[in-house]
Amino acid sequence: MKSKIIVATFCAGLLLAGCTKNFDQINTDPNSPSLDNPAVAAGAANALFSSAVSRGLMEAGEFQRVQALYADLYGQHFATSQGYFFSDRYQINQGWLDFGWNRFYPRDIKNLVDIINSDNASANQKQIARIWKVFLFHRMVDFYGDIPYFDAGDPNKAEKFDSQRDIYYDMLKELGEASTALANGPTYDAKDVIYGGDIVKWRRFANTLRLRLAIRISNKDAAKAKTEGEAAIAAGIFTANSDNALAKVNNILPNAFNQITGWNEFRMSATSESLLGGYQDPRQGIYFNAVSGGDPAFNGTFKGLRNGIPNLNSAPEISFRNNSNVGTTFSVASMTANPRIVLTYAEGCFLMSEAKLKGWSGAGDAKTWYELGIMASMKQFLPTVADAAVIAYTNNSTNVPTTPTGAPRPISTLPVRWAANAAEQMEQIQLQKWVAVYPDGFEAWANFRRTGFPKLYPPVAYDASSDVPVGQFIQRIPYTDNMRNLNTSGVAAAETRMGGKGQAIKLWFAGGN
Amino acid sequence: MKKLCLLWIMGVFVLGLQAQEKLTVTGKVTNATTKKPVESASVLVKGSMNGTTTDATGAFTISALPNATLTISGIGYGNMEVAVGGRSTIEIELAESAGQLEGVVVTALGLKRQKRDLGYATQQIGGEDLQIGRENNVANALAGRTAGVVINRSSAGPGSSTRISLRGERSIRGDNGPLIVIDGVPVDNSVRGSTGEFNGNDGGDAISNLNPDDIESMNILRGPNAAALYGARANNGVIMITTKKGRNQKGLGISFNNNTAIENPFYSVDMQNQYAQGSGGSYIATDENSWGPRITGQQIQNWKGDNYSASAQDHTADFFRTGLSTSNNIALSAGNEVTQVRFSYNNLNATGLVPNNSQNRHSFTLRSTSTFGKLNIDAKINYINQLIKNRPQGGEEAQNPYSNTLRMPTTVRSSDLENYADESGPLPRQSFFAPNSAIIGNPYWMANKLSPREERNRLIASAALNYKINNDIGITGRAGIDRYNDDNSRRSFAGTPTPFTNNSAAGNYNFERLLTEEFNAELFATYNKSLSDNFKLSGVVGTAVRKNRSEVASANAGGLDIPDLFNMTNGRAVTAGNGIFRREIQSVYGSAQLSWKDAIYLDLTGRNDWASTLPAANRSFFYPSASLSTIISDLVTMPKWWSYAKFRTSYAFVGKEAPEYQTIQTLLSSTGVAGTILRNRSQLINTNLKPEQTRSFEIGGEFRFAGSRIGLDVTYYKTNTFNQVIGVPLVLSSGFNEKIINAGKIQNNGIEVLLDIGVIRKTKFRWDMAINFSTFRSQVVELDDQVKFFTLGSTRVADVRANEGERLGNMYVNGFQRNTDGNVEIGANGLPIRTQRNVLAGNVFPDWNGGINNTLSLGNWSFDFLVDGRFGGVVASHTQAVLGGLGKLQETVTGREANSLIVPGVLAGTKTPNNITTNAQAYWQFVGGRGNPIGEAWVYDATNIRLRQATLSYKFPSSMFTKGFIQGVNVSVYGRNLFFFKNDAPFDPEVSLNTGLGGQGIDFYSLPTTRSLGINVNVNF
Repeated sequence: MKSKIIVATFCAGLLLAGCTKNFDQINTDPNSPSLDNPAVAAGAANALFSSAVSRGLMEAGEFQRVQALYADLYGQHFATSQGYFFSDRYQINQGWLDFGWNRFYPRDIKNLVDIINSDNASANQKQIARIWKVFLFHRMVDFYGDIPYFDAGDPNKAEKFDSQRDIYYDMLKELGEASTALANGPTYDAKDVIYGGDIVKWRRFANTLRLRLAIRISNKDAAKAKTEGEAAIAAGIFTANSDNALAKVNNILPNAFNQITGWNEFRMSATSESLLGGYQDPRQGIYFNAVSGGDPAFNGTFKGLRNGIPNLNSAPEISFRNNSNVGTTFSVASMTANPRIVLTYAEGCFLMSEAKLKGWSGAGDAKTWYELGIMASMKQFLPTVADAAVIAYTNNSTNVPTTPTGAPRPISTLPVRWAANAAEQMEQIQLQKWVAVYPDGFEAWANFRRTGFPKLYPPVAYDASSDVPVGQFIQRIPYTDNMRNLNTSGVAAAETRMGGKGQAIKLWFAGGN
Repeated sequence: MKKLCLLWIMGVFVLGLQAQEKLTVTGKVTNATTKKPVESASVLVKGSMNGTTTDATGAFTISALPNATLTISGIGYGNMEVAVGGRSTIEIELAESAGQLEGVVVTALGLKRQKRDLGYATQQIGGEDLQIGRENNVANALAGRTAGVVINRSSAGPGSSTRISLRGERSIRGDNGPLIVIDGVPVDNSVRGSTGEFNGNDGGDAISNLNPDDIESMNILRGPNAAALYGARANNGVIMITTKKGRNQKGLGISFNNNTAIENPFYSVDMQNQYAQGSGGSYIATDENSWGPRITGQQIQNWKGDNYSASAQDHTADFFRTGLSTSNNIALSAGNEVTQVRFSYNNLNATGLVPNNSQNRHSFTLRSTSTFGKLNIDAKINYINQLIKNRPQGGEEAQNPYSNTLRMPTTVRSSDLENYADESGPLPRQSFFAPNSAIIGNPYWMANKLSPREERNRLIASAALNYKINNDIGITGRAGIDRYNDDNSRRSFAGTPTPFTNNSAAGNYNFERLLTEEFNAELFATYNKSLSDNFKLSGVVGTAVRKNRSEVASANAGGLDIPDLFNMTNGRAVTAGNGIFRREIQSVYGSAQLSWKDAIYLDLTGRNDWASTLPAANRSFFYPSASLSTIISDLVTMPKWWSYAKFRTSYAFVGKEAPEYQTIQTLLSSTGVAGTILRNRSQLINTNLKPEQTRSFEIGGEFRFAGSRIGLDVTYYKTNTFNQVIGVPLVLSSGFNEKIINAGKIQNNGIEVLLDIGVIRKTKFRWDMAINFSTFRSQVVELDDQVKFFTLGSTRVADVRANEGERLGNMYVNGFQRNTDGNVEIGANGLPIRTQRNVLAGNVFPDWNGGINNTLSLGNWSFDFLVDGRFGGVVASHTQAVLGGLGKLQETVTGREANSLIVPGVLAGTKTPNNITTNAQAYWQFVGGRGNPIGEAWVYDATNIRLRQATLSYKFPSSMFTKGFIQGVNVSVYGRNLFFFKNDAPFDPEVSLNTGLGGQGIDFYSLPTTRSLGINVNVNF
């Protein structure tokens, strides 16, 4: 009897253990799609691209840590009213940076690489993914300097930090190839929240971005810049505000800039006060609101803060209550409606104007482009503004930037009216471009490092950990310990190539290595 | 198919049913010295699973064959074997032993075994220890009483979770909790929710749902060796809980227990009371800082425009109330020799320190045990309903009421905060100087107007059938289900700061529904045979299946439109989500024990698991264990003073499955601007995933001296955990944050010592002392070829890491830059220079733990007190860092007058003493503050020694109750966490951010632990 039982138990056990044939099904995640599933793969490009656009422009937490607390402060449209945000004094908070860096490749670049390598994506979808990949990458190259680029998105390749020159050359090549390859045929649907797959507009976007990059490297590599810039101009940049790249938002993925302005961490900068106030710029009331709810002495005024205030909140003039917050368009109340500004016709006009100063063929007339740029920007932010008001602004030769309280000088001594000599024209173009690219700190900071315009105010105080000499400006964001720990030799090679690891190391386009 | 399998197996065993004659034996067990009844003694028919326990009068009833032998044991007593010899009544006098060195213990699969036989360390805790000095979460009661157990409680008020670690940390993933088994059936012990740096809160664990009054005993199987038969989940040890049963008795037994306790904060932060709200020495009514002017009773105006005379307030003391918990339990027990039934109902009502926070738990348990000839049936059902209201949110965001009270500027009046609603506008909003701040708010609003509600309905049901085919063979089939639904919601009323309402001034509403289910079934046969006079053989062979399922569905209104209408139809941007998680594991196992002269025991076990979470090729894994124990004192003649000596050693392998859904690369879907969007999942999966494996070696001895008055139990163990399934960081350009790999080698070793001393053993007066000591060290021997650093958890004040070649749980912080002489270097601004986060501050785990428990009894009085300590280890406090930056700490008072502070150190790059002045505010905001504190300044030694518990009990003499209805009354008063003998940290170093591995050693606005005083009344009818 007992032997039978034992045998039976064993048999039962074996039988039971044999009941594992649905284990594969049990372990298939019902909550998440896989590209291994053909039905998912067939339509994935639209959804992957949509994510790479909406999230590539960063959600609030990441936007705050990467763009608002670094690029936007260094571009100086804004200053922080919170003394504990040390980055305005050039202290590097690695945790903030890692937060963004951890998302950039795995979430955004990998999505685009998957589209580009996909058997299921259409040719146009792949070209547009290449264009968008350049857009995302150029911000990071201009942020850190050398970064991994060529093998990005391939888990089988060891990480290699690529030189800025090589990256720039490839980005320009990608934009040229991809925009040329765009042709009638299947493209993205409404999940392309910028252009809904419109290949004509994507082509103009690519050309405008190519012109931006060509101008960016023009001091360092004039010949390459000229070749690429002229090719971009010949292929056709944006033609009107209706071409502007504006990414739609909704309540799930709202405009991150609008979202964070409610946190009372950022205010109008002294630079903005000097320029917008001095020129009596009609856009001032759109970009910023007059102080309200502050101390009586400040209420009703547009007031800006110096960047890099010391970590003491004592003085009433540097309290967030007594400085201008952003305007209603950029407030929390508008975050689900106000689209995210990616690239504009106005900037294209200023790029053309500068191209003409450089003597690039096909660029037209510098003054005309300058004035068109102002008109385009005014119409972009103030759709109902009268042409006469813009023309009066453009022709004004008396209003000049002011010297805000506590600032050493005005940002510029030039009026808006087109100057007679090329050096002043160059500064005017950059001043107006700076105003027009609001609130894009990535572009404002990069353009400043290239041109030195606008002549920004140095931080009031420098953190003890900063290696930027007093009176000078931060040139790049250093790599974090996390990046170093994961790829010690790669980071070391990049730093050797760039000539150092600090914040004062100039990027390639700005004259560095 | 699986159901068919099980049915078939059940059928096989029903065939074996047969009838046989048995005798009903009643008896009484008394203490051989004091002649008092011994309650809860175990009475077991030797060589069977048939057993019972004695009642309060020491009486028991059991069915046994006329020639059977009974084994009687009780906690604190030796074993005794009595032959039935055809008798129907038996009187037994049981001799005391020193502590816990022998007796019957419950081992893996619920098998009762003589402790002397075992080749590994176990420790049993009696239910009385859990009941009298009541902790409403039974896991907390283990603290200090058991060797090798580290208890860390999260602090989210009543019903919050507790981290239990047996013998330290083995798993980098942080999955270090033991398996919880109730009456042989594993139950789920997931922790719901956890506190992060910014928000989130502990959602309680599953062991905290249990009713302490139902527990007969807990047995701690500390190492993998003891638990090998439980397989995959047992490599962190097992806590075996045995619940109470009904008894064969005359009439109805009624037991009533009331426990009432009050609790107050165990410590408070040392705040300054000399300086007002403001900055730079100026009063500013809207400033979150307390760097204002010296308080001299001057007139100040608050944010409402009220003028008053400035005075420092104690916001935390004003805010907290005394917590009160009341637990009532009624247990009914009845039975005859065939069937015994026990029913109990428990109601726990607890209120926390934070106003409005409460826990209400109802627990119903019905257990029936029956014996029909050779068939034993044990069926149990436990239903729990728990409602937790207003569990305080953790993290630094303004929703956390406690962080608000701590940070509140000195001179803000508590009375202004108490009137938390500002009704002046069209919609109410919080009355506060920064009403829409995400970082600081009015604590009273947060306690009253966020209204989180968590309701759990839980059913734990199990049934076991045991059939004894003959004297040698028995068969047990057992199945259990543990299923609970959590219904959690949050109603944020109109006026709640808009960062927490999806930017709606009209409030917000969200809820989630979770289902957690674990099903276990097993079938095993036991075999017991004397092969000859000297050799005995016993064994088990069995099979088991386990299925886990969890589901979640959630919705968020995205901001309300009509104020305070808490319905999803009123949401401005409703979002919903759901998920389903399943896993299954199937097993066969067996064990054999061979003994010689009842003095040498060899145990072998083996188990094979098939896990659904592993790829087909690696799905099946086998692991064996072996143990050997020798009772030397039975083999050789010992000196007279040395009565007992046993040596034991064992070696075990335990395999462990992987988490689910790690074998197919998937994308994450979410709602985008135009329909569903997909993004790459940042984890690269591994199609060749293998099971984790723990190898464990253990050696130990148990000794008794001086007529068994002194007992010593010593264990050394070493475990190596390999092939851990971990996500290691990948270079980001790969397109992934981490890859799932099998890697790592964590070596963990330690020593555990238990010492029991019967200091005084008189009939009237006795004093027993139980000392435990343990030390462990977890070392990261290897991680991966490419990956040498692994961050377990990162907060702004410190990182907790597992770096190759270092101790697991090393804490890294930003430090002060020092020169080669070790002096702090000071920058041109007069402030220290901060280093990167590469300064090793210490390890978050203690070097060693110990506890001393004393029990003194005089007649019917007994006094019990427990002192325990943790030595070594560090804890970092973000709370202190923030309060330093805000100028709230007492230590920020010095050097407040403008530019009067010279920070000790040398000028950077020189040996010149610092002569650059700065001021206190600049210094403390640099060193502290919420953004980027210098962690080194906020790390404390975690060493502490405390009076964990003291209990005074009185048992009313039975002579008082000879006539009445009442049969016995026990009353005890107790206190827990009474005071520190030593503690260097300005808070209780036992708190942690959450129960994860990376949250250990981090104080991040953790609610203070509490000191509780209580009274327990037990009446038996």
